[in-house]
Amino acid sequence: MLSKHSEVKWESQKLAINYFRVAIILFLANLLFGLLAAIQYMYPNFLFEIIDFSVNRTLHINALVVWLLYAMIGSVYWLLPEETGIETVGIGIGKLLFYVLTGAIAVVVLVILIVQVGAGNETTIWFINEGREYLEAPRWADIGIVVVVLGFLANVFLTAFKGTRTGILTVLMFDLLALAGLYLAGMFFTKNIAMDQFWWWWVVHLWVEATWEVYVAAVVGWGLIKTIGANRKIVEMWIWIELAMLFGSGILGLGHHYFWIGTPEYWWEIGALFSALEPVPLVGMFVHVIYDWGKQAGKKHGVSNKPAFAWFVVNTFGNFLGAGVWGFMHTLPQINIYTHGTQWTPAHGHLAFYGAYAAILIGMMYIAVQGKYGLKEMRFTAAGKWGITLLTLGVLGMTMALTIAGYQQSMIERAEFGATWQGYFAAQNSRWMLQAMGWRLAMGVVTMLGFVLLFKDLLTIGPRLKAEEAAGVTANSGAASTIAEPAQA
Amino acid sequence: MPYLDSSSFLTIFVSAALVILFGAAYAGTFTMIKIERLRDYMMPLAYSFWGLQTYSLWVLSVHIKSDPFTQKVLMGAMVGYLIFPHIVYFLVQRTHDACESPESH
Repeated sequence: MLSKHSEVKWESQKLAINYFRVAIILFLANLLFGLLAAIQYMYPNFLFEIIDFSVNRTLHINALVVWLLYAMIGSVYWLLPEETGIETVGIGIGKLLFYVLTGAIAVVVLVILIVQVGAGNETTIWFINEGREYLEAPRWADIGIVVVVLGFLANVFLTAFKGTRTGILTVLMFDLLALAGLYLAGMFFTKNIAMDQFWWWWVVHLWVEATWEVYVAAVVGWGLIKTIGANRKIVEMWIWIELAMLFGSGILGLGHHYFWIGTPEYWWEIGALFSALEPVPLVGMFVHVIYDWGKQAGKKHGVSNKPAFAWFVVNTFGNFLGAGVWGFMHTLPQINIYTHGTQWTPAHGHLAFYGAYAAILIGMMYIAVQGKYGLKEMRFTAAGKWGITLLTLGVLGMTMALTIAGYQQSMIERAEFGATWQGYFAAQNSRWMLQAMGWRLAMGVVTMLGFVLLFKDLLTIGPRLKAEEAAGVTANSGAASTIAEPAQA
Repeated sequence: MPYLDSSSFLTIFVSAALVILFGAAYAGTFTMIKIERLRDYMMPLAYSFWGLQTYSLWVLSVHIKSDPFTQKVLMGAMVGYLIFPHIVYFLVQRTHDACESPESH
């Protein structure tokens, strides 16, 4: 991905590669700060008053959100010219906005890392940290992000209006509009904390359970057309059905975040009902994937990009397990009162974010590598295989460890001690909790090893397969001329 | 909000997970049989998964102390889920047939 060699003819796709490059660096930051936070769970004095847990956690979570958004924007810039058949309109502005955004993100990270905290007044909100979980960028950066995203949306819409507007692109256009619009809900404060939390939850929740899921459905659909030659008409028809099901359950399913923030009690019923419906579209997708797999088996059309396809498979199962199983285990209000804010939440969050979003976007990075080097087929390398295996095992291991920790916490801290300060420490010091945190750290190291191999693979797989392809062509043409010569003689 | 005994927690978490897992097993087995990747005689197994899913949901509803009306609604929803993979499969098959027939090209 770093090499200057490029067979990409569209400027839009060159810009996409830049977005992927920054995304992978932010992914590293996401894992690194996560590891530091995991160490601090085991050894609270580690980096105490240098990079406190609160700072590590802020960077861990925000790096996750930002790397996913970078990879999402990159994926759109990659598929846009292929879908529309034309160069992205306003690509020059798109490039400028990329550098503006990357510069702004670098400044925000450095400020959170070095300055860390402010006086908790307007200056802090504007220049250091807005203090809103997941969206902690200061206000100047918030406004900058809105400007950059407006530019990105203009690029997408103008290109779609000028070129061919496919079904996939139409879904993406409206989805991106909703995705960007939701960001605005996290930019203002109200004096009433319940009302404030009500709006703030719109951003990340309606991203992850509605707009991002629809984004994934559209991008996976496009990816399946590219990797296994799926029928476009079918893909596009199903994206509309999935869009209806995901929005139908996801929008009101956000009620499960309203249970304990002071909103009216009717949210218990709404949240419970629509949260319970949220796995239904995942089952619908599951049936469709099995059907497609059955239809595909025995056909001549092979998989043109095996690493990308493998990541799409991880996406299907990871989404189902992380969002479906781990979500439903603790989403109903009767049990959620004991689990909300315990380690159950990160157990669900780690697997759901990895399965539903990280996997699909890594798959898109492999598609970009294939395009960059003009490879006809992309097979797995050892690094790629070990990368996907260790990353998946690592995240699954962390999820299991956090589930045990969450179970222990809900039993001791919530049920036995009634969510008291004393209960919090009793749970934190329990033997099972400590062991689970140890396993979480160990599995975090496995995840990091998987990332290192993935990173190596993304950097080296392109040039390596290109060289092999060229050597194969040379050998074949050499063999052909050797055979042809005696015949001529 | 009813008070839950902590001895019910494990049953609640496990039964909730089983609702989703048996639900997937039902939908998956049903689809595999329909696309002829599994034999027809295995269809009772698919419906057994649905039965286990329904039982898991009933256990969950009892342990979270849902009121009797809600329990009846949940069992009614399971009738809906019995039909759901049939509908999805029907839609998928018809879409494929329509899009892959020679007339559609």
